[in-house]
Amino acid sequence: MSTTEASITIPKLQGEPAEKKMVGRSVKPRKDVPLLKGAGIFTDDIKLPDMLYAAFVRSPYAHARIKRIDASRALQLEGVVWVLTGREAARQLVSWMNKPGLRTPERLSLAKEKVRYVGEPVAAVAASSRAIAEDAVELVEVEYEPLPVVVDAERALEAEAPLLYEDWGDNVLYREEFRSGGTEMAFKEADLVVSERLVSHRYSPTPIETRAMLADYDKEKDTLQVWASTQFPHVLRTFLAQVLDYPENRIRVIAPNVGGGFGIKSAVFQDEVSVVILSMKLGRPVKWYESRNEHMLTAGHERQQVHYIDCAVKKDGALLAVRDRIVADFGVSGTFWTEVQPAMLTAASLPGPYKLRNYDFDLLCVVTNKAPCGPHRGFGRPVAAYVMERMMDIIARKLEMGPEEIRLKNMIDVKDMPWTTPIGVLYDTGNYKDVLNRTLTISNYHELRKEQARLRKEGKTLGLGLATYVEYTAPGSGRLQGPLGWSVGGWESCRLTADPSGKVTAQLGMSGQGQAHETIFAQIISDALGVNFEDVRVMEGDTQQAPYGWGAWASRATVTTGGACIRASRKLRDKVLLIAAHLLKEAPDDLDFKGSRITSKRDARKAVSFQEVADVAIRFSGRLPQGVEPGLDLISFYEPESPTTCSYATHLAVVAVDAETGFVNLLKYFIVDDSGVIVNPMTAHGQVHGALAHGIGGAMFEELFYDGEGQLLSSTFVDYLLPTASVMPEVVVDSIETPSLTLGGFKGLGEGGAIPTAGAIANAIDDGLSEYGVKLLELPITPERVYSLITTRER
Amino acid sequence: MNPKSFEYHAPKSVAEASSLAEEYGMDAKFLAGGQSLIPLMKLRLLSPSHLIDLGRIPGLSYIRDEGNHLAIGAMERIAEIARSDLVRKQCPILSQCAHQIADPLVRNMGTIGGNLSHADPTNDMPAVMVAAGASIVAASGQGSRVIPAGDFFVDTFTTALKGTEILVEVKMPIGPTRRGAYLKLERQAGDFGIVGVAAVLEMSSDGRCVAAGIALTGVGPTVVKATRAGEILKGVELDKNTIDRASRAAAEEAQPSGDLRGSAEYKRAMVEVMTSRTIQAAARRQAER
Repeated sequence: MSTTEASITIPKLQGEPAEKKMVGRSVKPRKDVPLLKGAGIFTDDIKLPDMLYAAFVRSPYAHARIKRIDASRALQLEGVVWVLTGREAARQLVSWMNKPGLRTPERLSLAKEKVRYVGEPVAAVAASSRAIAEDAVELVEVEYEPLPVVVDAERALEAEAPLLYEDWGDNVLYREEFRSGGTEMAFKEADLVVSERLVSHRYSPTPIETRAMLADYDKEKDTLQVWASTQFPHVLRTFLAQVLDYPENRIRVIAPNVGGGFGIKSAVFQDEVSVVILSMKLGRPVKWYESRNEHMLTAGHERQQVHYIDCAVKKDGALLAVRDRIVADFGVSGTFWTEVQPAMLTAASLPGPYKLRNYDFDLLCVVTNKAPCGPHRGFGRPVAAYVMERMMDIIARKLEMGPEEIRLKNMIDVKDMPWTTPIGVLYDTGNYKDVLNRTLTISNYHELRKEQARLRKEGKTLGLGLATYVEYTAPGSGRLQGPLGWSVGGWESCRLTADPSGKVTAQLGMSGQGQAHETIFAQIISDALGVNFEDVRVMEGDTQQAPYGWGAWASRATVTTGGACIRASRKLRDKVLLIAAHLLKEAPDDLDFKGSRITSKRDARKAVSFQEVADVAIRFSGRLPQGVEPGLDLISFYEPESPTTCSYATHLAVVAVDAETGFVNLLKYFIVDDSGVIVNPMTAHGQVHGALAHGIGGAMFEELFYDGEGQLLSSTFVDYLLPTASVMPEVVVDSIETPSLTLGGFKGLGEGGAIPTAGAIANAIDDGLSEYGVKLLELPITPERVYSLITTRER
Repeated sequence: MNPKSFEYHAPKSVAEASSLAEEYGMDAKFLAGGQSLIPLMKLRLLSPSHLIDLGRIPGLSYIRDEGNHLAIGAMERIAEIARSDLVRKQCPILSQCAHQIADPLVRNMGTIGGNLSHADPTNDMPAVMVAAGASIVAASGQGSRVIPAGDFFVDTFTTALKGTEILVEVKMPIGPTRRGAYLKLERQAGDFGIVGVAAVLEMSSDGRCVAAGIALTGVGPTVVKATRAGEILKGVELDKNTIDRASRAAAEEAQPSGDLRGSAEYKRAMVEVMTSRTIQAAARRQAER
């Protein structure tokens, strides 16, 4: 880890300990040992008395009218309690997004009149075991009238295309236009206009734990308790209250251990709502866990877009303007709650780290007969980085410039920070050129170029691919509720409670899925409060205990919750110092608080333990100074003050290509990132490595492939290929730390590793095969795709 | 992901297993390592009402050196074959193939008998058996018979076994003049191959190829024996021109169909590339004992 000179210094926290103790240390994650021993409790591990199991009848057709559902044979099967259909109870899954021109598709908990994708839930069976429920699913008779199917978004725009929602008159879910003003002129001034059609495919993040839900409606108490594999328990609670029209203060949502989310679990799907409806109808606990097959049919489909992009450049490589027409394939709809945002974010992220002043885009979000488009680690940005970074390389080759040269030529200078992009996104802090140059240094880039030339003489292909991006993380309410039109807050919460024994519990509105929150937030609190790390316990995921929060998405947890932890710690610290000052007969400002001990700065012999102060605050409250309330228990909220903060990185992929087979071997992969202040380098790098694996999977292996009838052909891991250890390259991660303007100086990092990966790998392959004159424009980069590019050019 | 309910049988002898199969006919399936059958049942693509587990029959797991062949019991796990020093020394192609099958979890459970009986055209073992001219021993209550590997694989998921017959042993020819290799073009370890090629060469002391067996994985309804490719190699020195001609012949003999792993054209082209690489790899090998 290296630290470059910060472009902006953060103000010192008041009363902050002189030396940082815990933040910056690679503390081992607290949860790892129990999880690795198999002692973790996940939703499917929970069993309640009298519990029923749900299974779903799903549509085998991509588009059909439901003529008739006959559940009588299923109901006769021993152990079957009920079969719920859309006609009996279907609830519309509400939307929290309100944008002019954004349409509201029918999105019912169970399809009622029509199914629109293969796998759409049509009926829900509740039975005494999952196996019986699955047997009953096969006995439910559904009569369908198949309708014409449209699976390609560009075809869906044609006049005679089948309509998913007849009353719309077309298949356009959302349309957005943006014009900078100077674009037309810039194209006239250009020495060169480079235009391409770039295609990104549909794939899914595949967390190791699929979705799961256990709903327990208690008829006597009239309460609803829900255990869910979710990234946002509080949001789920509010959503369920709205969808079911049921009082929110009678709902408790618990996210137990969650085996990865990666976006999918910041969505709510039809089947999950149906599980709750079943429990409320039957007055019994109902559990549903998703099979992998169901998961592939339903969850986390994203990134299927076609870009028609034009770039106006000068001979020296200066990028004058970009015009992009984006057709984003949303399947039947967006999901609650992100709706069309993945594609909006692609459009917003396209300018990347470049000083681009003229940028026009036309975004068309189109519905097709495929599963809904939900959030997926990277969230629209990987497509933006792929398109922009491919274009940089394509332009560089036309101008006979090096890929590093054209990027350095166009990157925003540190002196121009903060920078506002044409669409109004603010880049707060950072040094993009520094990070790119550092990538070249740690990779010995210029040596690699020589090696490439040497190998080429031996007939071997080595390719180097650069890609970079800027990711705005942790968006604030101003952006969420303004340009995004979203009823979502950008803040987070922390409730800090000390007990008489001097231990501290933090209840967070945040909810993690394996990001080591229990460890890193304890590190932050330990430093900001002055209490020993071991004495801080961090808890998340229970709406009955934790204050409201929005969950882990948009690489926001460390930034927002980290800030809330600092703010709550400071408040609690102030009170502790007030009490300690009274006990020690000192002024609060003259006291030091660290290592769970409060000491006089002037006389080290005058000291009191945090435990004693806590005991005074609670059990011996008679010793409190006058006017000080008893207890050490408070809540703080924090939202970043700057509109947003941006992390960024440069990736360099080094690949070998077997020109006879089209096989690509990832040899080495370099990442230099700037995610602001790093709380725990070990867990941070773990996330970068994991995200990189996600990115590699998407670039080269994973594809949700639909045939012309809307049947998903890659619905198991036999056909949906995930990257394994055997394809992972040697990875070198390095960081610089430019603090953000947020309270802790943090920037987000959970998604970054997955963002420019496809761009870097595609650029590397293209670079390696430059002698064949190939141009990779479509993802994923399968061996056959590479092979046919080579052979087509050879012919 | 639960299979339909079924009745489970655990016979203690081949004869008992065979008579159960006779009793339940088409409703029954033999269970060996379960690495193909159980997933198919969980996906409900296959729902036999009776499962006859061969795992409790004693004496079906062994690897024996019988002089001119290795005798391998049907219930021998793939992982054991991959680990076996005897196999590595006497029959490297089999060792090489075992190492490339699926992943360690599957290899730990999967058996050679199950692998062959399942007759999945993308399974790797059949090509090795066909290229090497192995024999397969089938037994029932009425006795046993030997089926040449070349006649064993009839069609996709279909073998020459009768409903009451159980594959009990594989006889894999070995000898000082035989050299074999199995190469698989797979997108990553653990995946099914796009194509796989097995080549077994019989070499004379003066470096000529006396006989050659070439067989292909994943490019037909079942394993494809590339007979013409083998004939081109017979009785000649293995120079580049010969290998190229044999590889082109193998590509012509392949009957690929397109799927998510590649189009028919791509697979055919890859048969040519991989056949060439496999013949060269086999020729480079030291004598197999």
